Amino acid sequence: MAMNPNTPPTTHQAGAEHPLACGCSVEQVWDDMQAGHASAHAADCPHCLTARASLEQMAEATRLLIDEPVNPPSGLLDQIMNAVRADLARGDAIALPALSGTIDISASALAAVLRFAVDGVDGVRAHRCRIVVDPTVAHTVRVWMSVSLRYGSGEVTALDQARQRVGAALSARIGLVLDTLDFEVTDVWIADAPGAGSEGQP
Amino acid sequence: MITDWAPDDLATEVWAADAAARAARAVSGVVRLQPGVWGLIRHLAARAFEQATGQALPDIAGVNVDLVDGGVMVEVQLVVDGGYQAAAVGAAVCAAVCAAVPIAVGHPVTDVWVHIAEIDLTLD
Repeated sequence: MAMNPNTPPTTHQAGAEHPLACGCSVEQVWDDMQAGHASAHAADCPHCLTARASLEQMAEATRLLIDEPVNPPSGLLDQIMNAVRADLARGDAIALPALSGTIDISASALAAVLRFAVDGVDGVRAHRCRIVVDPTVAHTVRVWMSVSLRYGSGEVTALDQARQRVGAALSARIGLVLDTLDFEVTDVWIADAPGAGSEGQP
Repeated sequence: MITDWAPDDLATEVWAADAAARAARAVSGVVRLQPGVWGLIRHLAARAFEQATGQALPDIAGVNVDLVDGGVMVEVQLVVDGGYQAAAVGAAVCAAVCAAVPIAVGHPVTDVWVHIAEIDLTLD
């Protein structure tokens, strides 16, 4: 990423990207914006479009700050990326139980917690996660998650354990109730293979 | 969000936001407040203002406040420690904000919205 007046100081490294719900990253949107083009996906995707609009605001604000005789704060890029992600997360929030006021949590934050719970099971790796609120029972959700399994890890038992961990995480860490959880096994890897368990590993 | 330019209202909104921000940060399980893009711009502008003038503005990034009909509407966006239950932290923030803001500005909180933008799992 080249430095110019419209480019925030970069501190991120490969592998430390800020993912969007559509599978792209804030960094990809930024790179496309700097290159002056957008993919067919980015032209229609609400996540990419919102990120792009936010980044354009930030680019302008950053340019104005650079013009000022003050030093930009450290970690500016991470602050910008977190702010963009926070704005995006407001659109898909899930209500939490509240005695007063309104409390909600972004679906992406919730999905990260559930993937973290599944990743704690030996032989199972979580990938994509979708969460839908049950319209008939308050504070109850239905979850779909794609996973990869290690061959020979006792797949059914491992998935049962993962299911229990997701239910427990929803209750203990979030305050929601699990209605249904559908796993879709999208990949199997062989134990001891180089890079075993990494995303996309056959 | 600071919407009016009446000096008294502006000051009240800043102090209300400051009280709400302090109250929210003091709740166990709150890792940090998380501003959106507009909040970050305002925060950076405040830092620039401080460096230029030497006068401090309160750190209210992550908190939006509106004065409506004599009451205060508060919106707090934050990151929660993964070791705590998000709903319980959110409820505690609601209660803390509702208690702190009237003391600071003399207006009741008519509505409070706590948005959890992220769960920090690195603290587990």
